[in-house]
Amino acid sequence: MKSLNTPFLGANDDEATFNGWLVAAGSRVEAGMLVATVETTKAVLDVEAEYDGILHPLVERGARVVPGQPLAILAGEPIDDLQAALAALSAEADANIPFEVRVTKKAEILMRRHGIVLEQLGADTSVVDEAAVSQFVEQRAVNERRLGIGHLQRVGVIGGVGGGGAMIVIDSLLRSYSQQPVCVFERDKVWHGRTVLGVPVIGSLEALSGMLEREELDAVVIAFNRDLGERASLFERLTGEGVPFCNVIDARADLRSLVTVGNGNVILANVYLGAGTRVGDNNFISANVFLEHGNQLGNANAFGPGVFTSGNVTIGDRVRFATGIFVEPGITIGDGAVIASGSVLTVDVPASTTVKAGRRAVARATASTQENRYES
Amino acid sequence: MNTESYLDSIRRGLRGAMESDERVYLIGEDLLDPYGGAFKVSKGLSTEFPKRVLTTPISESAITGLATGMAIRGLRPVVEIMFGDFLTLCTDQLVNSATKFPLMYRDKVRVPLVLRTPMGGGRGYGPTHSQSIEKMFLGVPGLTVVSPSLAHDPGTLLKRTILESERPVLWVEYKSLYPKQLLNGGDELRIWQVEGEDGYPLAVVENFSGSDPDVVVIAYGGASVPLFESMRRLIPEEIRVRGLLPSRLDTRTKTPWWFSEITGREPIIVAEHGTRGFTWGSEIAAELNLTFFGRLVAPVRRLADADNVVPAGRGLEREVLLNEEQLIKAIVESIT
Amino acid sequence: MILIRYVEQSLLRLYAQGLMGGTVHTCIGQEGCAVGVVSAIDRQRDMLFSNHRGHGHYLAYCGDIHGLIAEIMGLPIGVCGGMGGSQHIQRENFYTNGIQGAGVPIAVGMGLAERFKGTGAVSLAFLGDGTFGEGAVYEAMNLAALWSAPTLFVVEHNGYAQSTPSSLQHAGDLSRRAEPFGIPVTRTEGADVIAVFEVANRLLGQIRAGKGPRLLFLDTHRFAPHSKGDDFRDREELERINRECDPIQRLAAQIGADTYEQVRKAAEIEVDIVLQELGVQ
Repeated sequence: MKSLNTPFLGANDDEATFNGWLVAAGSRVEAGMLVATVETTKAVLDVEAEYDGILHPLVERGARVVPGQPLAILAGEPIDDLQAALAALSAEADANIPFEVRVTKKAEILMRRHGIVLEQLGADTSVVDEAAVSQFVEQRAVNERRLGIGHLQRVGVIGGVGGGGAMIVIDSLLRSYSQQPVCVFERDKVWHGRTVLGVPVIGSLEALSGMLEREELDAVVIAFNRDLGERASLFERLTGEGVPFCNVIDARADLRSLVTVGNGNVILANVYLGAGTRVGDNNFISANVFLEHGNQLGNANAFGPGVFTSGNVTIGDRVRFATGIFVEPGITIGDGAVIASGSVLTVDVPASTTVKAGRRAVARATASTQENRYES
Repeated sequence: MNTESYLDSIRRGLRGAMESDERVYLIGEDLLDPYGGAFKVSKGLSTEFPKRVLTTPISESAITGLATGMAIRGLRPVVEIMFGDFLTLCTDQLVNSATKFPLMYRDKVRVPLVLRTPMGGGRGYGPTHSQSIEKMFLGVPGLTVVSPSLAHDPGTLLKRTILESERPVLWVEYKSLYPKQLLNGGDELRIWQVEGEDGYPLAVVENFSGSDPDVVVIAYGGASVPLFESMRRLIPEEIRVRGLLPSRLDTRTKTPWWFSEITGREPIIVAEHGTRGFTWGSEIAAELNLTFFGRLVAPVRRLADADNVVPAGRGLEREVLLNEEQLIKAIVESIT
Repeated sequence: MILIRYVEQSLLRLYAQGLMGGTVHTCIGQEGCAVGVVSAIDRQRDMLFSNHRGHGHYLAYCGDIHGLIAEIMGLPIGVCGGMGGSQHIQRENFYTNGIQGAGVPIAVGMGLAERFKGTGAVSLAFLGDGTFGEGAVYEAMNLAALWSAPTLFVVEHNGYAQSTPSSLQHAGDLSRRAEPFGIPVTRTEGADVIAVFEVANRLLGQIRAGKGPRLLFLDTHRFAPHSKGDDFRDREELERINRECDPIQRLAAQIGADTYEQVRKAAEIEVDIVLQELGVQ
């Protein structure tokens, strides 16, 4: 039993019209006999029997057919159930394909990139796909970080790979006696699969809830500090969802008496917080920042290196300090203010104001059209 | 659902233009019924519009000049040049007259001329009937070059071009596309159009949904056939390809408007027919480097036909022309 | 004619003074062809496709000295805003192109378009004898005859293509080139403006009556170089044609010395005023 298939139709056509049988159904044909024709846009093509046998048609005149499609079954004996015969033929063809695990091209690329061999995946299905490899990579990364040091708080770092924030936070975590970095969540997929100081960048925050559920992670901290609005809203959202945050305080930071620190803050090396200073939530304080006694910090502020405030300075929310700034005692700085590098603040700064450095610094409102002029 | 072939679509566009505007004339060799043009594009039109389908002697230069004269005097002639290779014979008229008049006479003279021609290989016609030479016309000021792919609606675009353009348009149809069905979103490739400021849409085609692509391939016209084939074949391999197919080949605008569809975060491949040097693709690659400097994850890759004549023999021809195997190889390499 | 001569002479002077760039192709000696033919057309509807030597055709068509000189000087107040210069001039139904022979099929197409529209307009293509070297001319003549285009081909046969005499360029008889296409040829002396006008008038009438294209073959002489500095013709020969074949001298004889002098003065004043306006006098 063999099938008689539609011939190759030429390069211009993917399809043809079947012109009907030249011999009656059920008649006996011989190999080489012209039994039908198919018509393309360019030509009429002959269909010849390839074997001797009784012709059992599968298509009728006018049908649209594609190359390789069975047109009829040729068999030594009459067939009762044509569909069953056809199924048997196709099963026979399939049986000739040896069984093996199919690895998709994407999975193969990822395996090569992460140095994984097929056996490690313990594949129990016939297809290894991207999802299987990605899951293995994440699992392995997390496992490797946890090995043997399970009593330390396991911290996930959010964002900041491109800007370097993640690196300085991880650098601090690596010197910590109570915490360890486990992974970095990064939206920008360019970084996926890479590492920061040996800590794997595993992908977006979608993986976070699963990791918390499986108790692979204890807390997170945000490492990016460019967009303070986004830093604030992300903190708010995740806290609302019950995601635990932690402070990352460098071992060499100096926090004096009666200093209180909220949650989700990053405080790097050589930071000095004078007695009685209160730090809110989600602030990012770079190395060598000096905040004297009694300073009051709100939330989601960012300090570049070398910001010096005198005593009793009040700082609102989402204030950005660039680098190398001096603030006189008792000054109040409003929400969303931006203080340029090299500024010396001698008077209060209203909310949403940009202070530029210079002898007669001009503070320009960013949120309103109001223009303020400041001596600094 | 649209199951029109590329050829039918073009014919519908021509017919539509002739029907809605009496100033539209078809001019070219062997256009009359029953033959209806070398590729049957004008079949039926000379019967329906006997006075406005003009069959000509083998005089590509004079045909183009005549049509230019007609266009200057308010008609909307559509010239068919039987094979794109013969554009060399029209080049003087196109470069030195038709495109020059509106510019040097400061739009006092309008030349609404559409020059249609079948381009490219794949059919074994050999070295002088299979080339892709549209690149020779891409830097000509005042000339719009259009080459829709299988992912566009070429008929509607052609009709609008004939009825609305006020300056010469070189309209390139890849003959390998003629018998193919237009892409209509009915199979595993997703497709949508992005309208641009110049009226010539960008078609976006994806072989995945719900996430970001691994690779972006930029192509036009006849390269859409191997591109879509490679995209289909890469679906089971989970390699996500986004195809960007402009319908107009604009290399004079510094940053083409459709660059807004590109982030630079995925590797980019520019694929086209025609020999590799000094092409639309090289210009696009250069502009991508300027526009996305510092943001590209990898250098822009380029694929084109071999630097050779297009042989007649089918096997030899396949070796010279851009094909799906080359595309698949390049796509996989770009993310490995 | 006198005006054209004076404008061309002024242009040569301005060119020598470095007041214009590019090149200037003058038609000194061929004014009779331009004026004779263009006087016969219907300026409202007929179309002229001129060539690289088109100042005379243009002035005969519309007399726009100011627009022409300003254009050749590359000024924004030129008839094409300084974009075109000497060889690319366009106004109303007057077109030019600097490519040899390219305008011939375009003129045929323009004529056909007007025939399809039923306006009764005729198109004119001006070409020189040198242009017969271009294939486009023959393709266009074939189509014009085949489709009965309302086109008058005007050949100004001055015997030279730039610096090369016709005898070194063309085999056979140029005046009979169009006949095998079925295009009747009328040959006449270009220096006799009245004769040119009469013949052109008759041919345009035939074309307008639907009899198909015609070719007017004018024997003429170019007194000045093709462009600056490329004239190597025999001095004695030049002197002879200047003496015997000057269309303006012939016209002067026909209209009388007094009238000629009046016209000459008027032309001179008109051109001088324009040159003064343009600040080059």
